[in-house]
Amino acid sequence: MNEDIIKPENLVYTKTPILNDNPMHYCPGCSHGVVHKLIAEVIDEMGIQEKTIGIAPVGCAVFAYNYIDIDWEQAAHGRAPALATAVKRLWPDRYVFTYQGDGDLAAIGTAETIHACNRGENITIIFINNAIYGMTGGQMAPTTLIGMKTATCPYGRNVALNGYPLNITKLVAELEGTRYVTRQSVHTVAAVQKTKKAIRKAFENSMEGKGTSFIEIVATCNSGWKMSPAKSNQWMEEHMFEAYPLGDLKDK
Amino acid sequence: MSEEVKLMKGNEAIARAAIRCGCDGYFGYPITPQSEVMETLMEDEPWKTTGMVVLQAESEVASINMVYGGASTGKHVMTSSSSPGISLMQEGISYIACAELPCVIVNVMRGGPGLGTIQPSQADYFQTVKGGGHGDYKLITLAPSTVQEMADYTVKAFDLAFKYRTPAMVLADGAIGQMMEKVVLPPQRPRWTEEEIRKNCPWAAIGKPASRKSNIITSLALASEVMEATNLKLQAKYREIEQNEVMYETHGCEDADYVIVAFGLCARICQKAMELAREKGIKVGVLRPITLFPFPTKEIKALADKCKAMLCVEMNAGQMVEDVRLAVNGKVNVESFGRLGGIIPAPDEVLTALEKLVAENA
Amino acid sequence: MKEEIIIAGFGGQGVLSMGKILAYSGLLQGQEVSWMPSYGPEQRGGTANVTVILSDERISSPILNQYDTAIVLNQPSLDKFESKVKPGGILIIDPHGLSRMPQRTDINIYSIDATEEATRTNNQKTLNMIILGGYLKLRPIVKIEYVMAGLKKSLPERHHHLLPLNEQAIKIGMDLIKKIN
Repeated sequence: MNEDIIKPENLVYTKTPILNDNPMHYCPGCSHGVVHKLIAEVIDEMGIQEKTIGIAPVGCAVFAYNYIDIDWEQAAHGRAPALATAVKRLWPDRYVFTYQGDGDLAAIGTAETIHACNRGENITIIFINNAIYGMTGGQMAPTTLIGMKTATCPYGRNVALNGYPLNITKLVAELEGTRYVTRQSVHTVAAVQKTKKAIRKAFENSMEGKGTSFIEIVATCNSGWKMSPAKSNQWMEEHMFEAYPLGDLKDK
Repeated sequence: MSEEVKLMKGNEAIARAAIRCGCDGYFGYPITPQSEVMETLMEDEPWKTTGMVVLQAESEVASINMVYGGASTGKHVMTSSSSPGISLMQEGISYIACAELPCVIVNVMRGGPGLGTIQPSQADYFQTVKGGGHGDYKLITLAPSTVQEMADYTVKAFDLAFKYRTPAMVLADGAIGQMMEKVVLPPQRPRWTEEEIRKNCPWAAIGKPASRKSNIITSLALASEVMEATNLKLQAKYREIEQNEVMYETHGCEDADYVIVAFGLCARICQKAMELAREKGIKVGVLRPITLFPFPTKEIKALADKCKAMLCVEMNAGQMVEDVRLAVNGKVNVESFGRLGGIIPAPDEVLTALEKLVAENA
Repeated sequence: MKEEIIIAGFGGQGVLSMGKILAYSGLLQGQEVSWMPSYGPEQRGGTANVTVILSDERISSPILNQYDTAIVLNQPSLDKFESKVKPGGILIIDPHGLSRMPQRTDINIYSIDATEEATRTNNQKTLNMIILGGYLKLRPIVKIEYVMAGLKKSLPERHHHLLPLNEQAIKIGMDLIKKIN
């Protein structure tokens, strides 16, 4: 065996210490783990652990606070932007971000999302859109695609019954209060790099007093979608990106 | 230096007392009959003087969650609303109680149920002291009866909330909110500095230094054993509050054959009824619980040993009377008199109810 | 001294602010005061009333069954409050808004043509000050200097140039009020 590989000078990658050693509860293939790592890396690289407060949602990512080694508040379902609003206004020199899924941000918390963005709160909102309720067992989300099958639309989302997929990011981009609105993904190395840049930019924005930064990350839920991780990524590219195209929606 | 005596509405007194006691943030949503709280704050612009944040939220749901967010960072934060708005806040209050966060919530009650009326009421007694949201929790509840007490108990509520790391409610009604009386505001206290927050609230989520573990404010525990331990800790705290923080006042109870129990504005109306009854030779006293939780159970029980009967007067269908009966435990008859839907009982109505009580229990 | 007053009329007649000025005056004299308004839709033109109590001692109930003085400026208020004046007490009416006159014989009834006077002088907003003047003629419970100081406190600064006009209205009221039973 080549002993050189474990020599410190040959180190090519190390996990950021901001991501702690707790084993993640996420399913293999889930996008949450990757996004958590990116947030942790950005906090590490910016040296802002002491100045960052995260707001965790209700949903699979409720336990985000177990993995990213910063101070956290765990919000009631959908209310993370309200908590973040107060924290940022009371502590203007802190980096405050919410981490929310599609049910949390785009269904039960729509009012808090829209109004925090419309007031231009100087916070970062990270929105994981996997078009399904993961934690409660794969029910329909506001972002579930037409025809997509979930536990509460077992024959596929039917517009007559369930209405249309909600493109909330597009809606948020229309608001005067938002400064930076982008849609990214983490299914390839290149996509991961772009998402990390977006997160860093959003965090930096939050100290400039020019409004809300909103990052949607189109994500997979292979358990909920009942597909392998690889197949999920493929399905996401083929179906999700059509409804939720990647790229910046607003950058002012 | 003596403070200036001012004439102001109960709602204004809450706002100005909040500024004076070093409140860091107010988050609210307009609703009659308490809108003057936020209106006064917006007019006084405390962000220019003490640095206090005042924000009109998009709903009561957002308001209470802003309070949750701010309280998680060790700041002195509050909201105020009236009955239907307080109903909307219940989920957030339950989270705040479980996460053991200090904050102040003011309910200037109006008549319900439903959209109800904007006129004064005390019909949220059950909601407040029995835990209006889900789960086993309690709110420290202070019931002012004068405009001065609206100011005093706002300050007291903050002190108790921080002493016990638990939400405290100031439970008033639309009449006290809207009426004007003389007020001496508390002296101006400085807001806590970051150093003071770090020292007084080591649990606060304000950014993790390398020297400590991360602070996580949460009410979630999936393991039942952990959740039971959380509950037992809360219950132990509530017993301690019951031991230490009962507040009440009595009028004419020393020689009373009959005792009226009433809180808030009703207690003042009952004092007038007591004066009228004593003119007629009926020996009446009034006990006014100031804290509704913790409830003056012992004090009411002690009076039951000396009097012939009790009358509980409320602006509701008979809510606190249940706690009075529990305290009395069958020792004497406890009757209930109330007006509903936003009507304030007049002193002579109370007198009539009292005379009926006397006739039936002499 | 203890004076329990109800002032009632249409929203816009200055009922609540008349009560406020009285309460301020009592405060400045060092008395205990309470000002308990009806609130809500009344502000938008319905019937409004306010209970004002001035007392040398602590005030228990701000809600009353009976009043030392009732000042009523419209018919619904007369119907509601005539019976609630204490025997020997005072009822002040402005006949302008009334379709029937008060009936009681065990109270002292006074009339003041305040609406007519305010209209004649084209100073509608002094209506309540005229009535307050009439009331203070009968019950000089607060000194005029305190009333003026109270008025100054309750008027926004941009209206302070109207203070002399209001003081004049109080004096006119004192002359206008007359006993009618």
